[in-house]
Amino acid sequence: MNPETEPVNDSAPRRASEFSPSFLRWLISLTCGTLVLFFVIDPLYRGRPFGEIGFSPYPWIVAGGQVISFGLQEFSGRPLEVPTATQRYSLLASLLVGLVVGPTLFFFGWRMNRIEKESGKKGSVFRASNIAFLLGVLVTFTIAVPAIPAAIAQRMVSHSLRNAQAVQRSRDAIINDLNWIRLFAEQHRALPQEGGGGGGTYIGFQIPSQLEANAEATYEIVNVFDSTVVMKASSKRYDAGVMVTIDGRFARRFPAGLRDWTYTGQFQ
Amino acid sequence: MLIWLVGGVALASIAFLIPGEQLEFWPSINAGGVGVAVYLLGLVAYTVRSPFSKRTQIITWITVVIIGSALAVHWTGMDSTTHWQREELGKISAMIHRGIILANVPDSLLLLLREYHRQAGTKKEALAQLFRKTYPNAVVGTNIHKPEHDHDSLMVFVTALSDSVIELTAQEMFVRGRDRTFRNYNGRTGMVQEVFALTEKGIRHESRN
Repeated sequence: MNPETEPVNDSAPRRASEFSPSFLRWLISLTCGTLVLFFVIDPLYRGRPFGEIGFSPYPWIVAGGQVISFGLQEFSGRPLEVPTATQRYSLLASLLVGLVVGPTLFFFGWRMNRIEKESGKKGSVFRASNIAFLLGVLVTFTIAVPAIPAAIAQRMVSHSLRNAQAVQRSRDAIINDLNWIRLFAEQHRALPQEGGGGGGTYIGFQIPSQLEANAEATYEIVNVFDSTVVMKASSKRYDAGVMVTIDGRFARRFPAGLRDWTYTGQFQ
Repeated sequence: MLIWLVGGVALASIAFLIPGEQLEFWPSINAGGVGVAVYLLGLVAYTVRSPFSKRTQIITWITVVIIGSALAVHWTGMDSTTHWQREELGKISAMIHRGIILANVPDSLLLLLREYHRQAGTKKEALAQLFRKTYPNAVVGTNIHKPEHDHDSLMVFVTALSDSVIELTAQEMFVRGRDRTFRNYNGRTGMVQEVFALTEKGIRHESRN
């Protein structure tokens, strides 16, 4: 029998096609998912997809990173880097994927599943509502699950950072003030006695009234000798202090420097 | 679902783009976040209704409010903390650079003061003459600071030079001072600036910015 010319037997039972609608949906979804994974998500996730910015499920962390980066650029005396359109739009893409597309797939997938269940319809595991739901769960839970611990940790880190920085800044301000006092001490040493100075010594040096106290600390002289002055600063904000010596023992080293720094209390 | 997706993307994108092109991402991302929040509330209200039971609806709304609040706390905390850190970095930088100015600029004037008063006899060389021994070509407006490294942006200008007074104005090129509108000696705005004036009686200091 020639198969090419053999007539089709219409009365034979029809076999279920392997290209059923559910299988096709599954195939298309998987193909699209794989393409997205390889060409969009993966390069985005590996960072710097266009050489500029990476995908982040938390775009507000990227915005925070940019502010810190600006601070560091200012700190090191460099001009600020203006963000490019690519950086701006990849941030928008992060926002849309994480907070719009993910939750939409999750809630609609959940709802469609529920309606199908209520109506007693039994579809394939790989039906559209299931795939949407799973993708939605993946994206939404990536953001939602760490939200509470991240919020708590963020508050705690911020609080301890502010405290530590406040102590450090107070200490730095006091160090600066002590350096100012050193300047006046050296000036006293440089001026002749008839001009109100020490004529080559620190004898008679007193802290100028405008430097005796400020918002940070009170400053006092512990000891004054011919060639050394011991100063003390007591913090007004913390249970802490600084003690330092102006060392003018070496005539060649004029103006003298500060040495023997001693930090007490919270400044240690 | 497609209509909701397109609507959500459009709402969040329009909100994101409203602040326009700014230096920081925050205005755009905060506006986009408000758009997203409005969209999500609508989405949850639309999808979590019948046939879901009342119990499921209540649990879902409670979960959404808790997670949403946590995200909002994280989001706003990140906004305020990073801006605070940037401000702090600016203050630390200004403090360090004021310290560098303090360690460099007045020391040269102190040396001059000591030299001036150490001169024997009645005929003393004037402060300007002594200053010119170290900086022979200095005139008012000259920057006498030699950078010590690539990132050294300190400038020390001679702003007064006479027999009785030498005034040096030290300013940074990139380090912000207290007032962002302050006009610096070289025309920049808002940078750290300290002025030291030497007379035979000593050094007078003025922190201008």
